[in-house]
Amino acid sequence: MIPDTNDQIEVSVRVNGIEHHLTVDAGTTTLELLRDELLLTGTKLSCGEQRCGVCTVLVDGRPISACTYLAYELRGTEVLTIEGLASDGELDTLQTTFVEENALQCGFCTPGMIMTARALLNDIERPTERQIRSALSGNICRCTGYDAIVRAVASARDREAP
Amino acid sequence: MIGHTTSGAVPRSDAVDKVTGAARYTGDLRLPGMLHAALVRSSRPHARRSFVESSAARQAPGVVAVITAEDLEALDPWFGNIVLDRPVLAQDVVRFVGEPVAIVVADTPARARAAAAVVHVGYEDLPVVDSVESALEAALPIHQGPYRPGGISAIQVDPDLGRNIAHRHRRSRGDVDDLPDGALVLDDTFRFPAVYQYAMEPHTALARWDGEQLEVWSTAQHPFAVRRELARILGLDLAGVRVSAPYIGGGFGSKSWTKIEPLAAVASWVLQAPVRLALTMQEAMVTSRRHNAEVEVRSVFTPEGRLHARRVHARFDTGAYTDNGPQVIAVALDAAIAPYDVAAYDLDAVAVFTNTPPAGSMRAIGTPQVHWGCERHVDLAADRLGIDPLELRRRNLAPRGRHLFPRMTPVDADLASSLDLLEAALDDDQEPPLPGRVRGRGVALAMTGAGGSPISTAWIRMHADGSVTVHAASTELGQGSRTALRQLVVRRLGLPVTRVGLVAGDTRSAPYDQSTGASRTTTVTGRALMMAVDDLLTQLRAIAADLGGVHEASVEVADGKATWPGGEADYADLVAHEFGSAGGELLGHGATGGGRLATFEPGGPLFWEVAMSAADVEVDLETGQARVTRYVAVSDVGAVVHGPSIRGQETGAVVMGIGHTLSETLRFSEGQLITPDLASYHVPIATDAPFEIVTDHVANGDGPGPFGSRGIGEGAVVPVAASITNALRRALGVEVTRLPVTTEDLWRAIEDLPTPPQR
Repeated sequence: MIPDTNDQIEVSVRVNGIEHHLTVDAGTTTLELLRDELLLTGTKLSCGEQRCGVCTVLVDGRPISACTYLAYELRGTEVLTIEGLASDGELDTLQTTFVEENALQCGFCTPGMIMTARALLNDIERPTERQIRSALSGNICRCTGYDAIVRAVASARDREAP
Repeated sequence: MIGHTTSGAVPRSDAVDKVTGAARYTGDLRLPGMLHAALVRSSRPHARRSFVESSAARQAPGVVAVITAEDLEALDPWFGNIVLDRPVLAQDVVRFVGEPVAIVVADTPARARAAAAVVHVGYEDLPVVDSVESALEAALPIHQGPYRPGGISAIQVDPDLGRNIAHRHRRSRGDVDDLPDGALVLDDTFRFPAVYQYAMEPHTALARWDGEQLEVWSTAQHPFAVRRELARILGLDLAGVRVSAPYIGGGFGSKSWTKIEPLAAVASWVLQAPVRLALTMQEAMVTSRRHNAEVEVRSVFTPEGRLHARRVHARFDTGAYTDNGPQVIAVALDAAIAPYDVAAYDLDAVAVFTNTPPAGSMRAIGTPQVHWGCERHVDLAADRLGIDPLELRRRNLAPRGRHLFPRMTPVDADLASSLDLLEAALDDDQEPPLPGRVRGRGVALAMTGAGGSPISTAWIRMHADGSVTVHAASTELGQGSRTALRQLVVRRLGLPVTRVGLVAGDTRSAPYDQSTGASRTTTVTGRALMMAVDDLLTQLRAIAADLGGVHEASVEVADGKATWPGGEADYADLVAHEFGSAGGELLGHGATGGGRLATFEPGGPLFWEVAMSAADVEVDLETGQARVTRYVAVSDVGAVVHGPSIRGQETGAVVMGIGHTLSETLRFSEGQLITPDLASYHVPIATDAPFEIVTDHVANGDGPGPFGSRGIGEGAVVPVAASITNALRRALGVEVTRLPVTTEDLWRAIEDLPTPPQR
């Protein structure tokens, strides 16, 4: 059933391993829920129309654009954002290789880029450079020219699946 | 724990914050009681604004106020870094689709936006100027003027408002019509598109007026310039205004000078409450852009391949307001001859008003527009004269010390060193292209005036434990300024990077810096910082001399300590000796500027930025799709301060240049932007970028910055268009004179070729 935009909807969702029970407007987006309700501001807003990939988070392991994905659709899911990627103070392999390869500049696309790459490496054990570029083709970066980002993902691939 | 980058350099100082989501940008900040603004924007390109009917909006849920120009009569609600021609909110006339007309403030962004949609503005349409040609002959000028000078950028404008000319800039030497025997004369008109900087973070500002002081957090590249405008608008002292720029999600000029800050500030002033204004990307795309330009180029070569004369007449579409247009067209003309030594030139550029969003600064202002046609001619001449394209360029390179333009800075680099590196990095042993494709290589050399303003100041505080905090206001746009400035101090004081803190981007807590752009931070802010460090070192030496009972001249300060014959002390000991106990701190100060400081040569530019490149481009003959498969970018950095940042700037600039060459163009219909999103405005994606980008740099230690460094960051975007279009000519024989050259354009060009290439 598709709710009316004025409806208030109860949402139970695990975000970065923590269970939340929230009441949201039916029109509330996942991005608004993350940034405004949970104060998880690591996920950014850029184009707002599901084209640039900046707001990518993982819902049950799948990358989605939080800017247009409605919050009520999160009921019963597990959401992973950039803040939840490191565990026990240890950076994720991708976070480490992004730092080592200097794969970021302004940093605004970085959280979404890393989340998309995380989904890729979870799905495909040893993606080729072409597959990496293809997987990242929905994530725009205006600073780096992608070169260092592709290297960072390849380096994480090699570390996780030698 | 992360030790080093793969190149062995230390990682960027902001890297961990940015990969964990901890880095704070303006949009991440919240203040208690914060309200949200949305703008009512003009739907007309040129019209008299007759009334604003807002009763429905005022009654909408959560709405606190609807603010129009009439509410700002007690203020000086104008801005502009060069001339004060821009009203904060449109008054009697609107001049472009998207111009702010009213501010709706509500308790949530969604409610503010919903209410803004029901504000009704009455318009009486005026004749629309939608192109440079129609601008020059328009019956009704867009601006009546006269306007007061903005007073921030030191440039005297030469406008002709009756013809919609915002500024004209000319340079000439010798007689370009005096042709040498057997001269090769090339004449073409080259067109460059309007493009958007497309920083990923749209403009955002948060203002808090408390009745006495104004605080603004913003995506501003130049917080001090914004502070000055806000102080004038509200009638405050500079000391009464704070502008702070947290991490900025990319700038490329789109956030230079003043953009949306006055809107948030006046809303906060009206309401006495904190107000945030966060633009959507569609709004950001009508907030700034690069000038589209039409550039007539005549090049005269001697039969021996000497570039003898150049005539460039350029018309830049500056949009509805002056913004930085005059500076853009002035710098643009450097590229009409540089890096070549040309005997005679006649250069003339105008910035023309049209009813489109204001064009301003973008990476290497004005230069790509003029450069690409000029370098196309150099390549064409090489073919016509039967000279190797690199050799012909080598024959024309200006030697060090040569004044390309009288009263301007002479060539301050050894250009041949860069050309040598470029030549060495070419790969002539590549596999042939797949069947159905052709490949060509194009080269281009650029040298652009860089550095912007000479005005920077910096402090360094040495704390009681010998660690230091740098205060330097340069903003972190992603270029790595925070990393570079800390690295300079690490190198000079011999401290580990963990002992060097940095306060940046805030007019309250860091001293004055004029701007962040024009590849200036390492060179200019860096130089002010080195003067501050020198000031500190002088103090340390004096303290050490006193402690050791020796003459200052026999004290060495390096590697974290002072040494003298028979003794040594670390920095903490010296601070303790100065203050007499475990407290206190030392303060070093540095300043660069014109005037009495006279840090740099007058006349500008502060330095020349060198960028040379070669593009290997493949074209699919069935579809017309062009791909840059291998790109070589060479720059002259003087000295390496942070290697990974240099490469990052180069690779980013290259792909940005691929955008304006092959895909990006802002299209307007009757002043309305009809390419307002990524579906219609194609920013290069990961599969568009070259799989192989080779970067190399000259480091001769001859730059004007610390350790002989020379700024980079902008230059590499300049030669991209010429490199690619020169490659297309060599691959296909097509002569491109209009950018972008899209897949469809190339497909048509292939179909029209007299002898179709072998498929």
